[in-house]
Amino acid sequence: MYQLKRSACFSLILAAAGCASSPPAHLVDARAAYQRASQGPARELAPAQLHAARVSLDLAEKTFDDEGESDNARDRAYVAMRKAELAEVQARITEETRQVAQAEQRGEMAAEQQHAATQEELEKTREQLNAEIQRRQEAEQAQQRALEALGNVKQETRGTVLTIPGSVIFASGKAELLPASRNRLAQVAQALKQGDPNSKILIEGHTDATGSAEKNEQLSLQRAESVRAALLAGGVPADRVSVAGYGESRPVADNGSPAGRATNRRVEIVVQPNTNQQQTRSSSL
Amino acid sequence: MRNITCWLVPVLSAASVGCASHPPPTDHLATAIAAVHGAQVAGAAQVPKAALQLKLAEEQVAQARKMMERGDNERADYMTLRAFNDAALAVALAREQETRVQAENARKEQAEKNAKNENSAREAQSSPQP
Repeated sequence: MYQLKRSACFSLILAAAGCASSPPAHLVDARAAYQRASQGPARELAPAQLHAARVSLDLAEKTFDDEGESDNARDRAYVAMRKAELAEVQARITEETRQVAQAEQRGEMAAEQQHAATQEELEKTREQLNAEIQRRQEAEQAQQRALEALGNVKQETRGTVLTIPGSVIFASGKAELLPASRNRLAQVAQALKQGDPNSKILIEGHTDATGSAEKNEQLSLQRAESVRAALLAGGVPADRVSVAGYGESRPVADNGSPAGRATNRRVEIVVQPNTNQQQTRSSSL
Repeated sequence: MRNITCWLVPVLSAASVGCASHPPPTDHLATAIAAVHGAQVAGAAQVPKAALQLKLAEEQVAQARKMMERGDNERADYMTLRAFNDAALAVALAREQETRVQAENARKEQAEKNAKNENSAREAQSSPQP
């Protein structure tokens, strides 16, 4: 009896020692793998796989508790470890996929924003262009009205032509301006300044057919230059204004009558259409 | 008497575990083999980390077969479980690699697109104003 009792005690001690013995490496690894997975992104991104790993680990723990370091316990720990790893891999796959989707979405949004910005820019440019066109048209009209008050204005292909009779601003055969014409030419300068600042102005001198052609040409050029000087004095920029003396070569009336000759003696101020503006208009239409 | 029961219980329970006839884990083996095929198809052999798991799974399938031949069905069943889980991990690792490549490509494509957009925006801004 005593002997039996002692052996029972011995076996109990053994059993207790077995239970208290440190868990095998496989189980330790499986626990660590689960621990790591459950604290990482798998918690959010692979909850199902993480749960499966938990169930596997619990099973491995139970098998170890029941059987100690058995082959089965080792295999269960092995499986639990693989499931924890799987949860982590799945989380990384999900994360990567999500990032791709987000990047695509961001890209689409950026492209849309870019498109909207370009549209806006285009609209703004168009508005500016229209405003500029309107401004020029208004300037031209203002100039036209101002010029019409000062002489005979015609629209020709070469531009807006203001014709001033020679007798109004010059003494017969002279190239100097009459004092009375100063005021009038100052008004012309004023009108020209209202117009498109980019348009060129050509001042043409013309005479009747009386006298030598050479002299007439010289006189017409001198007269044109006198008018130019008056316009510059009125504030028109010099680089906009050029002169030409055509003499008697371009009559507009019969030189045979005094009235015709009076008509031919003239200065024409041609406001040439701005070539840039023409281009702008045609391209905006 | 009490002492006899004390000895008898563990002996009997051990016998019941050992002798309980475990049916051949044919279904589990088939599942493990299917998983191994899946990993092969997923290209696990071409991805280093996945290739290791695939190799383990293949070895464990072979081991399970041997155990079944020996009649050790219970151990064989556990071995099929190991094989299945290694194969599943191999599939996931192969997929991870695939996803990573796709993401990398998408990022590159996006970067190119962005550069293009910026360029065209710069061109639009610097286009001559009439």
